Amino acid sequence: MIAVGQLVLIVALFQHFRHSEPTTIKAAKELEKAEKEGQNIIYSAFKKAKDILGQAELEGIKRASDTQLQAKKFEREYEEKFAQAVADSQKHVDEALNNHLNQTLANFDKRLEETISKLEKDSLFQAQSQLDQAKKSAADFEKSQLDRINNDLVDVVETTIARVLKKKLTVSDQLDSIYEAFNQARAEKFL
Amino acid sequence: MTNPIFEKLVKDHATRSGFLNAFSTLSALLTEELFKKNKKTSELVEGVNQKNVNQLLEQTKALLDQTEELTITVAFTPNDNDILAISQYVRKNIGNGVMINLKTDPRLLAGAIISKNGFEKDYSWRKKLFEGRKEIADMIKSG
Repeated sequence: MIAVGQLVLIVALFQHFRHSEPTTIKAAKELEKAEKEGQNIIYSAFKKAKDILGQAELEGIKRASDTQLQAKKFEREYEEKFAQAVADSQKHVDEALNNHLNQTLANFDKRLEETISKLEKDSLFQAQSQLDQAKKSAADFEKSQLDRINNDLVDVVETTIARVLKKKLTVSDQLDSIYEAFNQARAEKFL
Repeated sequence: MTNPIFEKLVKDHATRSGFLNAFSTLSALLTEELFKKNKKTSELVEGVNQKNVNQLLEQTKALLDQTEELTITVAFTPNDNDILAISQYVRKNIGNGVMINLKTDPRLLAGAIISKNGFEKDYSWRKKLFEGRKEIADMIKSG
């Protein structure tokens, strides 16, 4: 960029002097000399600029090459580290899975044992409960049947007593029972 | 103030029905004696005359309504002698002015249900038998 700037400045000076009107022959010679020198300068500048550009291009190629190498190196290192990380991660995952599986199996065995034990207890309890219920039902039925029979017997006895009393009680007995009722009512302060 | 008609009837009749029958008969007799036979004073009931008879008869019905009444339900149908016996017992043991109203219910077996002023007491043998059901059942169970 500096070389290009210098070149532009020189061309501008050259143009300035070229268009200036020569006053004398000396001036014309000097002008010719200056023109020649200017051409030399331009050439040198041009050459120098070309060298600079070439050098810059080489530098650029070199840097690009270095960058590419760096990138490949980084990529290779990254792949290695990534592969290592994946391997480590896989290892941890496998270990965790194994631990979890072992724990789960152990818990499952324990719970299975508990469930079987509970089922056995429940079944025994249920069977006992059904047996008790059946015994109670049988006892209730027996009692209700006996009560019914007893009630029937009492009804028969009552009816018999009533029939016998009706036949056996005389008017005098009836009057005595009425007086007895009055006495009881007086004793209870009802009369 | 005493009412000779009421005093006479209540003395001779302890049942309400008997009292009312006697009252009806006595009213007719007094009317005939005092107004048809034109006697100034009655020979049937002392203290009754033409002037006061109607008032005394009206008063007698009012006094009957005010008299204490016992309703007695018994198991048999009593004849007049039985009614008299019951009436005399009541008059002697309960009170002279008490009227009785006799009813019959053979299911009672014996004894009586006595009602007074809307309250009732069951002294029948039917109730005693019912109360003895448990004892009868126990007797049956024990064989």
